[in-house]
Amino acid sequence: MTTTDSDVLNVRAAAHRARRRSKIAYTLYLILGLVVFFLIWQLIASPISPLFYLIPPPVDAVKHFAENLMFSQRMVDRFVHACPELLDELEITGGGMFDLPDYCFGYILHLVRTTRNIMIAVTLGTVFGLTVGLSSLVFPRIADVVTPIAGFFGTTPIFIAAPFFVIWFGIEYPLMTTVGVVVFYTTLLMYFFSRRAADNIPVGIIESALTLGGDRGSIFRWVYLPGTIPEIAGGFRIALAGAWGLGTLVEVLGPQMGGGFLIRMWSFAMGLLEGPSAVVSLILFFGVLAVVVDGILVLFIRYITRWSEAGRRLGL
Amino acid sequence: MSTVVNFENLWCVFEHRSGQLVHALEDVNFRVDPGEFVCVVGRSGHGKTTLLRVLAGLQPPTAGAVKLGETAVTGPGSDRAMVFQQDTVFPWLHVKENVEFGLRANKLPEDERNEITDYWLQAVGLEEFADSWPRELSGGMRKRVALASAMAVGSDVVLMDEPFGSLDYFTRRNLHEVLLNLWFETKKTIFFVTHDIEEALILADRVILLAEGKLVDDIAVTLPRPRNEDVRATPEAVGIFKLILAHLGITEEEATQA
Amino acid sequence: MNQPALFRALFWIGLLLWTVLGAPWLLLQLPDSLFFVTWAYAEGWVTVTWSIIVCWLILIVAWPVMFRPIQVRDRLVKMGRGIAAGPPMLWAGMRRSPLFFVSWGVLLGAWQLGSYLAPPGALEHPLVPGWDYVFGDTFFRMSGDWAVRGFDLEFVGLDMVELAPLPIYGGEATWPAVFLAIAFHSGVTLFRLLCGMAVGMSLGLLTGLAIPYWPWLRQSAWAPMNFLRMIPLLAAIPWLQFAVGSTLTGITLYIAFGVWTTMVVATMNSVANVPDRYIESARTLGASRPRTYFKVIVPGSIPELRTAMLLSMGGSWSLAIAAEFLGFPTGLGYMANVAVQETNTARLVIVGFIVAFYSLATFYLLNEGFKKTVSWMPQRTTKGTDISKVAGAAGAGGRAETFEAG
Repeated sequence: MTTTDSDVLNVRAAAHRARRRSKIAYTLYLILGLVVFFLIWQLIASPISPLFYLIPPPVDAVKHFAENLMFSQRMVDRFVHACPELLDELEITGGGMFDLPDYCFGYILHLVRTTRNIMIAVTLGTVFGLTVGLSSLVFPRIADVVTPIAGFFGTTPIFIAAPFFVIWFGIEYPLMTTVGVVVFYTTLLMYFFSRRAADNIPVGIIESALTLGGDRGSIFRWVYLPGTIPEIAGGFRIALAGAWGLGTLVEVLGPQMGGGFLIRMWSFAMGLLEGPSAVVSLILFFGVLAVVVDGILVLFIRYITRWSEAGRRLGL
Repeated sequence: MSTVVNFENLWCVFEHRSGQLVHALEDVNFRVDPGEFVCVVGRSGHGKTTLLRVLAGLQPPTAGAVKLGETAVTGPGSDRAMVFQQDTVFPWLHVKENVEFGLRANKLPEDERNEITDYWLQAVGLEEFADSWPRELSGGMRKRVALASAMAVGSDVVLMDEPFGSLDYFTRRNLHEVLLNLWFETKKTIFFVTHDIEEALILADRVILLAEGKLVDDIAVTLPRPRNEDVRATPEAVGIFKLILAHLGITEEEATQA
Repeated sequence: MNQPALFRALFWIGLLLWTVLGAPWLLLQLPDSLFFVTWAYAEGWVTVTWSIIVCWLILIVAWPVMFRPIQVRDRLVKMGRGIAAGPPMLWAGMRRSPLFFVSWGVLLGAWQLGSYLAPPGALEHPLVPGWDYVFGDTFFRMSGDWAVRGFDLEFVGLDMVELAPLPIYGGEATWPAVFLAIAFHSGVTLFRLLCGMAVGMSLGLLTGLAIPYWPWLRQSAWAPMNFLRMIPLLAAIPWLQFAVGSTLTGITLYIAFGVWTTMVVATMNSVANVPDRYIESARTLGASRPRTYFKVIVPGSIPELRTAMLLSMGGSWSLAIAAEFLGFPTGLGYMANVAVQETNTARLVIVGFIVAFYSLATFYLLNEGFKKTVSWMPQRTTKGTDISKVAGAAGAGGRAETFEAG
C-alpha cells in the first residue's frame, strides 16, 4: 500500500483537530468553573441562605467598592482623622478639609498606600534575605551562624512577630510597623529559599565546574546564581502571597491607615447594611490583587526560568 | 496463544504548542505471529516508543489501527502487559503485592492469586524478597519485579520499552537470560524496544527497523540459540549487524567510535 | 509475641469492669484534700466520664506492658540510654558546630545589650526588656492571665477556678497560677488548632482527592480554588468576629477554611504530579479507572502531601494566634494581646517562646508521624533547609505546589 499526499494531509488535519479540541475544552471548563463559583456565591448571599447577612452578593461588593474608591461619604464622616498625610496637607495649605480633592476621601489612597508598603517591604526583605543567603554560599560560615536562628524564627508562626512591631512603632510610625513585620518575614523566607535552592543544585554540576577550573567567584556567578533562580522565584511567590495577608493584618492591629485600617473601621459598622459589603469587598480587593500580581510574576518567572523543569511546570 | 498482532496503516502525528506537526509514525504496516520475539530497533526519537504505546493502548493513533486478531486496540488492557523503561514498581506496595497487582485488578480469587504470584516470584528469583519494600531492592531486582508483574497477568503479548537500558552490563546479561527462559517456557509474543543492536541480536526472532517514523526493514534473525559470543561472531550475525547499521544510517567507523 | 485470644478477651472484660466499677470506687475512696477528687463527686455520668479518662490512661500504659513487655522494656532501655546520652551529645554537638551555640549566645547577648542601650520610652515597661526582666518579675506576673473564661471544663466536673487563686478577682499572684495560666491558654489554643486542622485537613484531603477523579471537574475547579486560596484570610478576622463571634465553632471554621484551601490545591497538584509511568503501568496491567485512582494515584500522591500538611499547620498556627489576639478572651493569642495592651514586650517575649516551643513540637510530631505512615517512601536524608524549618513563616503564604515544583 502506498501513501498518497492526501493521506498525509488528512492525518495532519486530524492531529490539528485533536489539539484544537483539547484547547477548546480547557477554556470551556475554565469558564464553567468561574460561572459555578459566582453562582454558589450568589446563592450563599441570597435571602434563603443563613449567611446572607454576612456575605454580600458579588454585585453588591463590586458596587460598594466602585462607589467608594474615589470618594466615600463615610470617610468624610468618620475616617478623616485616619489619614496623617491628609492632615499634613491641610497644615501646609492652611485650608479646610473640603479644599482637598475628592479622591483624598476615597479608598484609593489607603489601598495604594498598603500596596506600596507591602511591595517595598517584600522587596527590602528579598534583598536582605538573598544577600545573606547567597553570600552564605560563598562564605559557608555565615550559614553556620544564621541558619539555627533563622530556623527557629521560621518555625514560629509569623504572626507572633507582629505585636512586637506594633508596640515598638505603634501608631506613630505606621510605615515602620507594616513594613517591619513584612520585611522580617520576607527576609526569613528568602534566606531559607536561597539556601534550599543551593542545596538542590546537584553536587555533580559543582564538581564539574570545579574540574573545569572554576573558582569560588566564577562558580557563584555561573552555577549558583542561575541555578538557584527557579527556587528563589518560587520562594518569592510564597513570600508575596503571604505578605498581603500579613501586611493587611498589621494595619488591622495598629496603624491608622491603609486597607487593613479600612477593614477595621468597617468591621465596627458590620451591623449596617453596607458593612459586610465594605469588609468583603476590601478583603476581595487584596485577594484579586494577589492573584493579579502572582499572575504577572508567573509570566515573568516562566520567562527567566524557561530552561528549567520548574519553569515548564508553571506554564501548564 | 493464538493472537496475531497486525499494524495497519498506522500514523501518529502530534501538534506542538508552536503549531509544528511532528510525525512520530508514518504509515507503519506489519504483522506479528503468536509466540514471536520481536525487537523494534531505531535511533532515539524515531518512533519506537510511540509504536509500543499505540500497541499498549496508551496513545491513540492519528490514523490506521493496531489489531489483536480481529479487534482493534482502543485502550490499555491486561492482554498487553508492559514493562517500562523507567522504574514502575509501585514503591507503596510490597514486592509480592506488586506482582499481585494485575491479578487483583483482574479479580482472581485469593488462592489462585497466591499460587501465581509465588510461581512468578520464584521464576525471577525473588521469592525471598516477597515482603520487602521496593526501596530495599537494587535496580536490577526492581526490574525483575516489573517483569514478574507483567508476566503474571497472563497476557499473550508482553511489551517491553527498553526495559534494561539503565542497568549495568552484568545485570543486563543476567536479565536477558531470565527473560529468554520465561519466553521459552510461556511462548508469549514479546515486543521489545531497544536501541542496542547487540541486545536485539541476542533476543530477537525478528528485528523491525524504524527510521524517522517509517518502517525501513523487517529482518528475520535465524541465528541458533543460545546466542553467546561465538554465535554473535559468525559471519551471518555480523552481516545482520552491518545491515541494521546501514539502515540506521550509521557508518561502520561511527559505530566503532561509539 | 502473640497472646491467646482468651487473654485478650479477659483483658477487655477486666477493663470494662474497672471502668464501670473499679475506677469510680477508687476515686471515691481518695481523701477529699486531693483537689481532683472533688471532680469525681459530681453524680452520675460525670464520674463515669472520669473513670473512662482514667481507664484510658491506664490502658495506654497497661496494654503494651501486658502484651508487648519485651518491646516496652526495649523502649524504656532505649529512652534511658537516650537521656543518658543527652549531655555528652550536647557537648559533642558544641564541639562539632560551636557556631550554633555561639550564634544563639550572640543573639541572646545582643538582646540583653539592646536592653541597656534602647531608649527607655515613655511606657511602664522597657521597649527591649533584658532577660532578667523577662524571667524575673514579668514571668511571675503572668499569673494575672490565670482566668477561666468560656472554656471551662465544668462539663466534666472540673471546676478550674479552685485550682489556684484568681488574680483578676483580687486573688494573690502565685506560681501555680503562672503555670496554670500557661497550661490553660496553651490547652485552649492547641484544642482550637486541633479542631480546625482536623476538619480542614480531612475535608481538604477528601475534596482534593475527589476533584481530580473527573478531569472536567479538575479543570473547572482550578481557577476558583486558586482564587479562594489567595484571599488574605488574616485580614478577614474582623469579619469573622462579626460573623461567628468568639466561639469554638467560629475559629474552627476559620482555621478549617484556611487549611482546606491550601490542602485542596496542594492535593490536586500532588495528584497531578504522580508520575505518568505508574498510572500507565497500572493500566497496562488491566487495572480499571477507579482501581488505578485509588491504588496508584492516591498512594502515589502522598509523599508530596507532607509539604502541604506542614504548611497548613504553619498557616493554622498564624490564623489561630491572630484570631485569638483580635477577639478571644482565652488562648495564647489572648496572652499576646494582654501583653500588647500593657505594652509589655517582656510578656510578649515569653508568649513568643511558648508559641515557638509548641509550633516546633507540632511540626516535629507531624513530620515524624508522616514518616511513620509512609514507611515505604525512600528515606531522604534530612537537609538543613528542609521545609519543616520554615513552615511557620511560609504557612502564611501556603503555596505548597511551588515548593514541590522547585
